[in-house]
This record gives sequence, structure tokens and C-alpha cells, in this order.
Amino acid sequence: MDSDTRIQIDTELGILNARHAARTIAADLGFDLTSQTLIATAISELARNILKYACRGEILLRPVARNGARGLTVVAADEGPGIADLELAMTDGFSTGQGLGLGLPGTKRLMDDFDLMSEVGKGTVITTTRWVRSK
Amino acid sequence: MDVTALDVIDSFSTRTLRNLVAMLRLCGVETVIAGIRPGVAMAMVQLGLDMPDVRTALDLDGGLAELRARPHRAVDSGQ
Repeated sequence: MDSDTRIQIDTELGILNARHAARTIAADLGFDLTSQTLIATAISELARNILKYACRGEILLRPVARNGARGLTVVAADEGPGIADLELAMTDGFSTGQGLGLGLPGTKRLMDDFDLMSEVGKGTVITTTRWVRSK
Repeated sequence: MDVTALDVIDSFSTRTLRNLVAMLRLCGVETVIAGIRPGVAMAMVQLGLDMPDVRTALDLDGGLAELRARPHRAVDSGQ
């Protein structure tokens, strides 16, 4: 069975590595080119958030299956400052950084399933999955 | 500016491109961003990203043709 791929995110290079690894795995799983781009963009946002807010963290890529459908789960985990107001962080246009404030809600739109866990002072774990569309 | 080589444009790259175009405009330079791939455009729209006030074209040829036809933005907004 497919195994997990872990990519350390502590530099810009880590973001690129995560994007490229995700494209390769997504292609193997049967995602079309457009879906690969959507996933790579979501990972880019998540990895950028790790770098910006937590300085370091990890992206985990996990091939999954449910009811015969294949999918790719992306887990973005860090031990950074955490998110104080989850609802606010998921609002379009809100950002504590210099960003456009579209990262988290935008990432949710790019993927199918989205789960956000965060504790102030402990860190943040975002688990998100996109499923291969049946033809 | 030909961005055909970019396989991902996220919120960070969008802000970088917008800032670059704004800075060039202050220097009197008109910019057309050319070659945003269809899949990249789809991801940008789903992310909620937009490039207001930035002129875009399908590819480099289209971008150059656009600048020849309408060298200044003022002509654009007058349409």
C-alpha cells in the first residue's frame, strides 16, 4: 500500500519540495492535471503559512481510499503560535500577517475535506483531502 | 511579463506580481502579465485571488499585441 511522504518546511525550498512531491503522488493516484495544480496551490498556501507564522513545520502527504474512491490527504503541522480565533482565520480577507487573508478559506475551497485544529502556544494541524473525481 | 513557467500562483506570488506591476507603473512602465495557465487561473479564482488593475493576456504574443494596440492604461479605462 502507498506510504506517507513527509516534507520538512523550514525554507522556501521546502515549499517547492512539497509542491513537487504532491504533484508526483497526485498524478500516480489518477488526478488530472488541473486537480494536481489545485492541490499544489493548496499545499503552497499551507506551507507558506507554516514558514510565515511558525518558521518550521511539516507537510505530510498520504494516499487514501474511501468507498472505492482514491484521494490525497495533506496534513500541515507546526508547533507555532497557533490560531487564536479559528472562525476569524477562516474568514475571507482576514490576516494577521501581510497576506491577502485568503489562504485558509481559499485552501478549503481548493480541497474537498478540511479540518483545522489549533491551540494557542502549542501549534496548528490542518488536515485536508481531495478526492479523485470519477469519470 | 511572461509567467508561463509558473505551475502554481498562490496568494504570495499574486501579491508579489501585483506589487511589481504597481511599482513599475509608478516608474511609468506599463505591464501586461502573459501566460497564466488555465489550471493556474482556476486555482487562483478558487483561492479568491484577483489582479485588479493588472492587464493580462493569453500568451507573450498576445501581451505584446495588447501593448502595441493600447500602450497606455488611460486608453483602457476610457473604453
